[in-house]
Amino acid sequence: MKVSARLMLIQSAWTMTSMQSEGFVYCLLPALKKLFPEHARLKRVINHFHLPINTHPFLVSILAGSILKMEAEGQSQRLTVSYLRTAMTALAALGDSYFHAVLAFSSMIAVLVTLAFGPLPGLLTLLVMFNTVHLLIRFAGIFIGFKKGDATISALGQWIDSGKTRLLRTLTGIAGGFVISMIFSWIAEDFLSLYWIVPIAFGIILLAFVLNLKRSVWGYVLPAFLLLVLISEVLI
Amino acid sequence: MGQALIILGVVFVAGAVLLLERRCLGKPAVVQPLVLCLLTGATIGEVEAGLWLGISLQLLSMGQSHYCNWVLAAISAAGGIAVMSVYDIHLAPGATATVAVLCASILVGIGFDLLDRKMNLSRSVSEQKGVDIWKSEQGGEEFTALIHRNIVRGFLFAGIQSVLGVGLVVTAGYLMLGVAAPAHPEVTIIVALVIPLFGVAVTLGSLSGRLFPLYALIGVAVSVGIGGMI
Repeated sequence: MKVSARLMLIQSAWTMTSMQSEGFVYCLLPALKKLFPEHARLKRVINHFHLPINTHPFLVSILAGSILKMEAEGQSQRLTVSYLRTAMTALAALGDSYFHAVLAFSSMIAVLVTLAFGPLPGLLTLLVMFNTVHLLIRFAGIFIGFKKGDATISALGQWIDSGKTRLLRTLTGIAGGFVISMIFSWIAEDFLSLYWIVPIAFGIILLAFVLNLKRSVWGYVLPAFLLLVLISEVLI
Repeated sequence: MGQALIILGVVFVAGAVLLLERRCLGKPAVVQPLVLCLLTGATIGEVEAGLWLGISLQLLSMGQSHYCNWVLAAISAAGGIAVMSVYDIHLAPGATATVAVLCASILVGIGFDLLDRKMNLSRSVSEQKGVDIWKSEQGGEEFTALIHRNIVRGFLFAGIQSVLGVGLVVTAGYLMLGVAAPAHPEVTIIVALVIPLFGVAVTLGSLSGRLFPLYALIGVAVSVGIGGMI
C-alpha cells in the first residue's frame, strides 16, 4: 500500500535525462528495504534502475509489482532490465490509447448526458467514471504485478488488448457523434432546423480530419482560432 | 487591501495544491478542467459560465494534451470567474469578457508549459553536473530527499504560477469589459456554440487517427435519423 501511495508522486523528479527513474526508486524503496535489509545488496538493486524509465503513470504500479517480484526471486540484472525496458514501452502504448482515447472520451460523453440532470450529477460522473478505473489499477496493480511477475504484461494484454480498445473506440465514436448532435440540436433548435446539423457536423468532422493530419500545428491553431473568435465578436 | 491579500493567499494555496497532482503524477486525474470550473461556478452561483468554460477547456484539453498546462489554464479560468464575481462582475457563456477569460487562461497554460519545459531542461543539466545520487552510499534516502525537495519546490512554483495566471486572466476580462461594447445576443449564442464545437473537432481529430471522425459521423447520422422519425 505504501508503494501504491508513493506511485502518486512518480513524476515529481522527472527530468529530460533520467525521466521517471528517480521517482521509480523512491516508490519502490519501502518494499526494497523490506526485501533487502542488507545495505550493500539494497544499493546494488537500486542501481538496476539507473536507466531512463518512462511509462504511463496510471499503469506504472503493474510494472512496479512485477519488477519487485523479479527482484525478490533474485532474477539477473540483465533479465530485470530487459523486462523493464520492454514492459514500460508496452504499458505506455496501452495506457495512452486506453485512458486517453477510450476512458477520457467515454467519461466526457457520460458527463454530457448526465449534465441534463444538473451540474452535480455531471461532476460526480466525471470524477467517479474516470478516477475509479485508474485508482483501482494503481492500487491493485502492484499486487497483481507482484503475484504474476514477468507474466503480468501478457495477462494485461488479454484484458486491455488492441482489439477490445478498437471496439470500445468505435462505440465511443458513434456514441460521441450521437450525443453531440443531440445536444447541438437541443441547444440550437430555436434558430436552426434539424437538417442544418448535418452540414455543421460534417464541417466539424472535416476540421477534425484536417487537424489530425498535422498535430504539431495545434499549438498555433488553437490560440489563433480563439483570438479570431474574440476579435470577430468584438468587431461584429 | 485586506480583501485583495486574502484573495491572493487563497489563489496561491488552492492553485499550488491543485497543480501538485499534475506535477507529481504527470497526468491530470482528479483535477480536470470541467471539475474545477464547474465546481467553482456552482460555488459562486455562476453555474452557466463555469459549465461553459469547463466544457470548452475539457474538450480542448482532451484533443491537445501537449503544448499547454491545462490544469493551470483551468485554475486561471476558475480563479478568474471567482475573483471577478467578488467584485460583482458576472460572466455569461460566449460573452466577450468570458471569451477573453478563456483565451487568456489558455495562453497562460501554453506560456507556463513552455517555461516548465525550459526549467526542466536546465534542471536536467544542473543535476548532471551536480552530485550523482546513484553513486551515493546512503540506503536510498537520497531519493526520498530529492522527491520531497521537488514537491516543496513544485508547491511554491505552482502557487506563483496560479497567482500570475489568475491575475492575467482577471486583467484580460476587465480590459475586455472596458474596451468592447456588449456583443449582439445572437453573436454571443453562436460564439457560445462555436468554441465547444471546435473543442469537439480537436478531440475527435486526436482520438484515433482518421477513422474516429467517421464513427462520430455515423453517430450524427443515427441521431439525425432518430430526430427525423420523431
